[in-house]
Formats: sequence, structure tokens, C-alpha cells
Amino acid sequence: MSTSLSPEDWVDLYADLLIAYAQKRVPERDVARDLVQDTFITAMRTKESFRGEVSEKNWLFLILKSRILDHYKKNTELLASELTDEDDDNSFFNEKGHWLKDRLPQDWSTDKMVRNTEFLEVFERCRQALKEVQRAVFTMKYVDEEETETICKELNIISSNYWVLAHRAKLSLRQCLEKNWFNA
Amino acid sequence: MMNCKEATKASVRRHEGDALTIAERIQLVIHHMVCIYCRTFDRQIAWIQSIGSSSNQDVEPLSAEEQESLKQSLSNL
Repeated sequence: MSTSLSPEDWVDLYADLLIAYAQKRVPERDVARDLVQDTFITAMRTKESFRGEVSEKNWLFLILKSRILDHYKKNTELLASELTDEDDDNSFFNEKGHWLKDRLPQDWSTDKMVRNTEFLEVFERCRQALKEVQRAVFTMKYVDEEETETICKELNIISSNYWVLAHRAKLSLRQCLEKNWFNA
Repeated sequence: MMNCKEATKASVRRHEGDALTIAERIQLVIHHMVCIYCRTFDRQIAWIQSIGSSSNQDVEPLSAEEQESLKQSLSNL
């Protein structure tokens, strides 16, 4: 495999692939674009360390992945406040832990449980509407298909925090689908 | 007795493959026998989970200006 890089072609060759990958994980366009830019800058600055063990393209992707993870981590620093904020749970359950009346899960009609393009668009919008840390956890689990243990390690959170976030993510996502797809 | 908040959390853990204790498993089964809402939730999140990774959104490629500004930032290094 070639050990030489051609930075002058990076933007033309890889920028669209990298932005597609980044924006799926960090939907805010300007943030995704900054992450891609950081990737190129980091790559430029560390190009002497490139040994050709992976292709130029995969090397850039590795840098982007670590940039995205750093971005997630920055947000998990806000985790402490997120997890002590009882408002989230209070928006689904009362103080006794019972469902609030207007949050009771409704039965979904099976003929709307389809995976057509329209549904997937709603699903994607609902995923992106999750609070940032919940979204990071959900995305690492279901888009990147990582193990819970790996996610905890990478985000530096304990498993009980992971389950609080996963619980909230599923409650919110379910609610969003019900409102915007099943009852729409 | 588990309440709905605890039962839904146990559902989430179970569907993500976390091992529930025997006590939790029994309590969840009992809760589901009496609570149709948590049973519905349990079934629906299993379905949601199966969708998780199959969604495929199209991302707009970079505009000419965006490409240009990227190139600019690299050439300034």
C-alpha cells in the first residue's frame, strides 16, 4: 500500500464522503463541517506519521471518528447536569413512577409499522431531535452498532448513567414517532 | 412492586441485552401482566431498535463555497 499522501486532492476526493459520515452522527451541518475541517487539518499536521498501514481514505476516516468522539465527550461533560435534571423523567411519569395520562403509550396500527422511505425520514428526524447526549448514545449503539461496554468506555460514563440515557432516548424517540408518524 | 418508570427501564435494558437479575425479571413479568401500557412500550421499543441502523438519510454534498473554504483553510497551514 502506498505510503504517500496527496493532500491537494483530499477535498475533491473525500470531503463529500466525510461530511456524509459526520452529519449522520452530528446532524448540525456547521458542526459536521467543522469536524471535517479539523480532520483535514489534523491530517496535514500529522502526515509525517502516516505509514501506509491503511489507505489514505481510511486514515482520514479514523481521524474523523476520533474527532466525532471528542465532540461527543465534550457534551458528556454536561452529563452530570443532564442526569440530575429530573424534568426529563417528569415529562413521562408522575412522582409515583406511573405514566402521565397524555403520555400513555398507544397501540400502533400494524399497517403503519412499515419501513418505507417516508417512515425512515420521520425516524431520522426523531433521532436527530433527541437531546445531544441521548442522541450520541443511541447513534453509537444503533448506527455504529457498538457494544454498551465500549460506549461507556469511550464516553467515560458508568453503566447506570448509560441506562438512564438509553431509557430517555427510547421514551423520547417512541413518543416522537407516535406523534409524527402513527398519529399524524 | 415495580412502577412503570422502573418497568420501562428494565425493558430497555432487557432489549439491549443487559442481564436482569432474577428478581427484576420476575417483577417485570408481573408488571406486564397487569399493565398493558408497559407491555405496549416493551413491544414497540423492540421494533424501534430493529430499525435503528437501517435508516439512511441523504446528506447534501458540500457546496462549491464550502469546498473552497476547506481548501483555503488547508492551504493556510
